Amino acid sequence: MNFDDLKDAWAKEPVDERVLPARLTGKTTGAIARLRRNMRNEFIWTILGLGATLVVLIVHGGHHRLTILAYCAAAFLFVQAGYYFFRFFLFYRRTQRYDLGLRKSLRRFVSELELNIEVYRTYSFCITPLACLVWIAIVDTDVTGGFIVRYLSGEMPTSPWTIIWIILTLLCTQFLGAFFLHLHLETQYTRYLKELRRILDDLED
Amino acid sequence: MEKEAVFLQQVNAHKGILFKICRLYQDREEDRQDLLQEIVLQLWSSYDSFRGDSQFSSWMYRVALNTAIVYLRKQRHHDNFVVTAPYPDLADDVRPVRDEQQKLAIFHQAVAQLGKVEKALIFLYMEGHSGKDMAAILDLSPGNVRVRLNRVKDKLQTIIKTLGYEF
Repeated sequence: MNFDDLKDAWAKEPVDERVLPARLTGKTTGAIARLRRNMRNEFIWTILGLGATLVVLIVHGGHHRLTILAYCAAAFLFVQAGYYFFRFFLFYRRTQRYDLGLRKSLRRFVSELELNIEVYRTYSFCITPLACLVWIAIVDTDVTGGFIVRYLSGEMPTSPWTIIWIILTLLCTQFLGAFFLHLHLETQYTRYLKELRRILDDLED
Repeated sequence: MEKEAVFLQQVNAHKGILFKICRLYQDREEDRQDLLQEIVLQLWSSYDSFRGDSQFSSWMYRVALNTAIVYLRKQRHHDNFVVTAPYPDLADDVRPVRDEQQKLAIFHQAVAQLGKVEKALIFLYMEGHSGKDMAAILDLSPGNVRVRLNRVKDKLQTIIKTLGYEF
């Protein structure tokens, strides 16, 4: 096959008379653009969630037996979320450059994304018990609130069955949380990461 | 507003590049339009980074190819029928092709079976870029480009034969 002949035919191909899209606004659909969009949505929903928690805490949190617990747990929750989302925002800002060398920018993006997914996983594991504690303390139902109050006042029953029941409940909650976290990561981040990893492998072959 | 007008004027002057990239990377007209829109948006959002120290077309090649490579097609139900094996059996009889336009059409058919990076390489080669330029645009070493390009050319020849043509 003579590629030079083909190149001539390629160069002589009539210029397409179609016009370019006139709109310079709209949603982009590339893997990085979708990841950025998901990150932005995640950020907005988390801010809304934390804001709602803060409002409920201020309105209802001060009239319960567990007020101190609610405020302490909320303070830890907000500090951890604030730290994580500050990092997350810096990463989000770094992802907007497309004109860098493909391999270099992709490699950096993929490794940073992998790292951020792991940080996100750890962050989620850390804040799940804290968030549960904040909401239990705010809602303060007879069952859970009473349980915590009894524990804090040293009236906790020490029967093995109660301890087994507590451990099983906590384990199930954490497993369930991990399962939903995995689903969330898979649909929002991991599948795009796999696609980018495939392209990177192709480039580094 | 003036910046936007200048940008559109520059892109229009090189729009052939964009149409060719879209044709290479997408099979359906609808997908090509989506990719074109995506590339134009990416060019516009990266336009501030173009400082004029290189030619506009060189910068455009880089952004457009980067976008095409990481672009994800919309998922459709009938995508399940996409043939994953790129090499069917060799054609029983190989027909020689003389007409240039027909050669080009067959060439496009063969290129459709290449990987994303392979498409970028063959596109830049067909556009007449030197190995050094291709290496700079794709962020590969010149040696790597040379080896890969030879591999892609061999692959294309094999695909064209499996389609039943020879030229």
